[in-house]
Amino acid sequence: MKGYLHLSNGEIREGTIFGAVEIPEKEVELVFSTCMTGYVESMTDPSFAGQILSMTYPLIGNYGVPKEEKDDCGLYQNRESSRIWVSGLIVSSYIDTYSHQDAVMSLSDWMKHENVNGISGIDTRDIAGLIREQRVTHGYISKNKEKQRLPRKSVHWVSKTSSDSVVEYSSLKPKSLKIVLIDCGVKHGILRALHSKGYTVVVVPWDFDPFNISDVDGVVCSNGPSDPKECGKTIDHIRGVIARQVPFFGICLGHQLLSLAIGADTYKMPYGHRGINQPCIDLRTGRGYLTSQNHGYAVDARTLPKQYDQWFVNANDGTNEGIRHTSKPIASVQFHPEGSPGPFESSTLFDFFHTV
Amino acid sequence: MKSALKSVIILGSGALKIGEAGEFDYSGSQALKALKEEGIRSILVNPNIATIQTSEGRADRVYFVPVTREFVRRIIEKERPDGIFLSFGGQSALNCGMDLYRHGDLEKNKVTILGTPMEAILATEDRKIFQKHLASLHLLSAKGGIVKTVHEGMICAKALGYPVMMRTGFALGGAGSAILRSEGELKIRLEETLSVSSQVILEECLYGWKEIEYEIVRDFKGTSMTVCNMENVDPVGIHTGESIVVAPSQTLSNDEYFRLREYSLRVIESLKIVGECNIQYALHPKSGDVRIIEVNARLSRSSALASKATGYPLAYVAAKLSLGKTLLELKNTVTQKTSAFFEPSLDYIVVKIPRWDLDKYEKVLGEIGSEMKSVGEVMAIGRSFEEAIQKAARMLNDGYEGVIDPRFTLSKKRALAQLKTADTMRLFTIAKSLMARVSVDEIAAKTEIDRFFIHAINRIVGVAKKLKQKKTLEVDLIRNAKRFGFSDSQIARFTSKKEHAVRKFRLDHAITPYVKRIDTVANEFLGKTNYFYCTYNASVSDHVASNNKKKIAVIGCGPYAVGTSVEFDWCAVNTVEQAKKRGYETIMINSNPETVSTDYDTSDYLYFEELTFERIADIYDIEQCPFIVSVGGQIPNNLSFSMENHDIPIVGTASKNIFRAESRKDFSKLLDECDIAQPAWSEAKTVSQALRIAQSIGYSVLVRPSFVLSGKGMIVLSSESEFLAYLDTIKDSLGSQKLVVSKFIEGAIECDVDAVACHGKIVRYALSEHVEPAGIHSGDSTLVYPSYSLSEEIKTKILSATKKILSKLEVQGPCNIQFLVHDDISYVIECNLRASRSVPFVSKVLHDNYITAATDIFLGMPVSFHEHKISHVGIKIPQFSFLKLKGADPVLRVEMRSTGEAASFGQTLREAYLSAILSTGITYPEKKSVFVSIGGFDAKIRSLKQCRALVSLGFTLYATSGTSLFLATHGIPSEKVEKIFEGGKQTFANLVLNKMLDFAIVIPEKSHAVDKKQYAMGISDGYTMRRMAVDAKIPIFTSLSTSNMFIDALHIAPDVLPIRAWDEYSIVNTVS
Repeated sequence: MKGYLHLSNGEIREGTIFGAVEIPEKEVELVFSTCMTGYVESMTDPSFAGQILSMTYPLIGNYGVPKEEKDDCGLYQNRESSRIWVSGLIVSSYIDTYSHQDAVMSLSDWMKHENVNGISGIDTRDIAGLIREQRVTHGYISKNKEKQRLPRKSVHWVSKTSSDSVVEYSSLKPKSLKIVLIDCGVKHGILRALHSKGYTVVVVPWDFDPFNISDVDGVVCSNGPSDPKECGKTIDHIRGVIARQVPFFGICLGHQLLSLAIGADTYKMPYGHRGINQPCIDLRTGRGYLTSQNHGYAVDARTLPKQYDQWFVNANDGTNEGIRHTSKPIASVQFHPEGSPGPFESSTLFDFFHTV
Repeated sequence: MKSALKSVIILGSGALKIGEAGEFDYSGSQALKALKEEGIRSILVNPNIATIQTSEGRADRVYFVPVTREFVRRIIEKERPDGIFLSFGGQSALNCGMDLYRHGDLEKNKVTILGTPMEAILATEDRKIFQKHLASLHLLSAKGGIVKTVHEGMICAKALGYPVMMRTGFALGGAGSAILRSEGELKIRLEETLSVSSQVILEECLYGWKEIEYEIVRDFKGTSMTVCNMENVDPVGIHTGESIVVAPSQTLSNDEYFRLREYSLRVIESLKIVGECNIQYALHPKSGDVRIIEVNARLSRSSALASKATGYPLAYVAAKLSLGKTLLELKNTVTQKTSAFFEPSLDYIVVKIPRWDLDKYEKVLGEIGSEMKSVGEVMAIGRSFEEAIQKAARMLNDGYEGVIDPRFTLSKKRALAQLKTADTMRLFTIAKSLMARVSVDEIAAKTEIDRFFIHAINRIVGVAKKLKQKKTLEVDLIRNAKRFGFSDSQIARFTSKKEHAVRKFRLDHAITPYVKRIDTVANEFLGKTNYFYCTYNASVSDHVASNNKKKIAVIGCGPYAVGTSVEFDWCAVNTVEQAKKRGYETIMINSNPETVSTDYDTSDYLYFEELTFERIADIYDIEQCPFIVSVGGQIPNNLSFSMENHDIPIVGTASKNIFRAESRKDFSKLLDECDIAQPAWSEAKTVSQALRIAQSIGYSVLVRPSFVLSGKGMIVLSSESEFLAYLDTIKDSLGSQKLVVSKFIEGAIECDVDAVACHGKIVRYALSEHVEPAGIHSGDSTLVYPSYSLSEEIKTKILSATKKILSKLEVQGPCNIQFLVHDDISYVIECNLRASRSVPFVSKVLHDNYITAATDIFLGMPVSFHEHKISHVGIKIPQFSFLKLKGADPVLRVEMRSTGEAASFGQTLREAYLSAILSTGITYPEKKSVFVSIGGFDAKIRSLKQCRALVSLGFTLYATSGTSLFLATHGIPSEKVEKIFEGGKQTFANLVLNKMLDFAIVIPEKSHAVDKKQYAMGISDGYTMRRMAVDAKIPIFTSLSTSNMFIDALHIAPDVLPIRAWDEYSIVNTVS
């Protein structure tokens, strides 16, 4: 079926609809990713909630969609959450004839099942360019060529993607540390990484005070969608963690929330970092790591209080990629050390609570 | 960090051969660029004279000498470098480096190995150490072991279970590896292989697993990353050089991609690689099990491909890292602002297809397997697999219009039968099978190629069927076909239209390709370089052409094949460089990833594209500038006619004159008008006419079917009975085609003239003489400059004939004319109005770049005559790859069969020849024993001088009975041996198997005549002996002229052979 990508600059691009044929209700933010693999992981990443994702790699769907699998403690094995969070997918070529031993269905069937629409036949390299030049940031996918006036609804995505209850993933190891994870829309990759390091992980909702849990050895604040400044409650709780001298580690949105909690500022980037090849330098060692990233906001390093050092910076644009307290066990990184999708050589960072 | 190094020696890979082709010119050139930037003096050792790296201004010193321990050691002692680069010249350079290291030459001379430490190289080159190392990292390689005897092998294989994979260590291009399915097969192969190698490796057979490669870089501080991964479409079992390869991988999940990536980083970190490294994996398509196949701690063919596929300058970065730079210090040279430490994101797909040329070798089967046979490759870029693979098929420039062609069909039954064997036609067989309604699953099961790829080919077939059905040109249908990579000519075939009608329809409906930029970052940052490809899977172009009036496009050489090699890349690159110097904006168009011309910074704009009329016309529509077609060999030359027909401007000689030179009739007429001699010839339409012509001009005759291009199918016939036998073999394919019959002049001297003309007036002129007589293709001949045996009178005649031809054809640029000299008469046999294979050679011998002069002429600048006089001798010598081409007969004939060439200089013919021949992998005789078998009385007489010389040099001669008897009657002692297997007696076979011979001279009864039918049926003793020698790596001479030169050169011992750099051979004077 023919379909149309309506862009906020007025342009209309013709393509072919795949997945669900959803009637668009709102115009949403368009973002692009330069990942060449990992569409299942990206689409289930809650940080993409409410965004249409455009893939610059032109062939999407090649290896289908694997069967939903959970490990013994209930963590998703081959996706990042229970559902698709992107509100639409833009690709150049959609591949329906998938081929992979783990696949149980095509990408289109999965999207149909989850009621998410996609459009193929779009010059996604050009879309990336438009977003980069900021000539377009919003749009919608429709089967109709006629332009509709659609609202840009503001949604508090963190509360929508966060867990609504406390869930414990116990470690099988004796004397394991108990880590509370503040879920602002956590990727299961982070939970899997923490759990594999031998921690007992207690996931709590984004607005839940971690100290309602007993015997906390450390607190992690997760990734999540949208503007960090909309998470005031979480920021307050992080301040509490700092005050009680409990080790703290932030990832992605969690990094921005820590920065806000200590009085630094964040800002919206022109077009964010979304991809798996973001080079970061560990300023303590001078060694580089390639990292997986998905964020549209960044921490303004100039506003960091003096007890905090920049830990990582981006080798391309010099933006802040991590901070660290000069003496206390408080740190955070902007990137995703767990990868999924992407490289995971920085996953040693999850040893943080063992080393502090 | 500024490097403390003052000078670095870098080893090249020598002559092009199967397994080591132009990719090492690319890597060496980039390494030299890095050295230059760091202000380090560079000394390059590489006898491959046609390379860019050995050109003026690249290295500070160049040695055209063999890349072997003895020569390199002497250069080190002379030049006293601080460091050495071993990883830019393929396995040849690495082997030489290991040899130097083991003998302590590097340590003694305080030369540091730069980049990856020797321990790591040795670990990756020794299977036992390597497996142990991997085990320590919890990684697996194929299970198996080393065996030294047939018996051990049989036991080992039993434990592993059949089929088993057999490999020999230290190999280029997988020589000596094979899959053996039974005890019987294994036994034969073990006996054969253990005769030339002290050990073999037997392994579990990973046939059918997915083959995946990663290219990795690491700096000395430990920062590392993978630049690119690639997936072989053909499963493990087909050598990666024989496989269709895609980048990035297409069928790997995120988990698999990053798991293999993590293994790569683990391996490179543990080995402390500094620079570049390649890892090959086998991935089980069902279980996901992984085996590491091999690690190459050097730049490789795959790294060159990865570099072109991603735009990431791997070799340049590897060189910088080897000099102590870090990845974080270096900038991405494409964006010029982001870091060099990033993994490129592709927003397109790259497909590589190998280029084979097996038709040139009788008895070589088209089957592909674990040994490399391809001689080149093409790389296509598209935004769908379908688009890219169809482009790649056309890039082969071998007659394919895409992967599917209505002219060639198969029945379902035939298709199923053909799918069983993996051969060079497999891609096309798959498409034909799908056309014949064989199912995707059936093909996947038979070929073990992933269904993903077969489905994609099936979609191409689906579009083809629709075109065939509709027969009319409709906008949506044609636009869709273009997105699936169909060419205008292919669409025309399926819809029964003319190509130009399809093109017109397209232009009328604005269906034209979009130009996309390769920027390494998928448009996340704005790219600065102009590395382009064309695609129909887009809606916006990244490139708007400039209006610059001073803009020129150069069509490159296309894939390397027998006859088209690195020399044409040299010409194209030099053209671009000179045009740049003259203030022109330059555009390069080429499809061959193994080249320097496809480095995005060689030209201002690079189109990595098909060399087809359609694409050239598309690029002309965009760029609106004139083209140069005469520096890239025959492919661009052939394009000139259709370009001219469509009013695409060409600079240089007018295409009507190019046509006059190529048309036998017109050219012959021209020669007659100029009163220049040519061998008698005529065209025959019927068999009886052909026989009559042969009779009237007299045997021997040279016969060529006019339907065969580029000398394929040419044959010399010396009697009517031979002619009849030959006609019998070709009558089926002859049809209504004509046969060209010309006089073959026996024993004539062949010469090559390379000239440059300005408005038909000669401005550069070089006459080189062939060592081998006429009848051996000029590409397989040894070329000497200046000519050494011609009289002044003949030389004058040749010059005067050349001048007349240049003037008559109003030549504007380069030109090559071949002459025969016999009985004081010079005959013209061929004329090409383009740069020839020998242009880099004469340019470098004379220190006078002919292409620079030609380019100035193209650009309309005046160039005047001058001629350099030299006192040295340059010799260009062919490199053969018969070892890799199982079954090929190493006899040289009118069809070219060499895969590359080397050249050396000397003050004398002997000096130059010895250095040149030792550059082709031949070692200086130490055993002092030679085998001689001379067929024919004339040849026997001619061989006496050489045999006497051998005896006086202290050689023992072994000879076949006839030859031995003949030698005895002339007072030359020899030991008589039987040819092949004769109970109890000493045989040639024993001599070979016991490694008793330095070299062999095996002259066939008729060195030029081949009866193809007899050839196909029977195997002569001579053939068996020649092949045995090749398989046992014993140098073999099949022409007395060559062996004469070699034996004469043996009067010099290699350790007293003077070693001089290129710049130490200077010009004596210049005549203007």
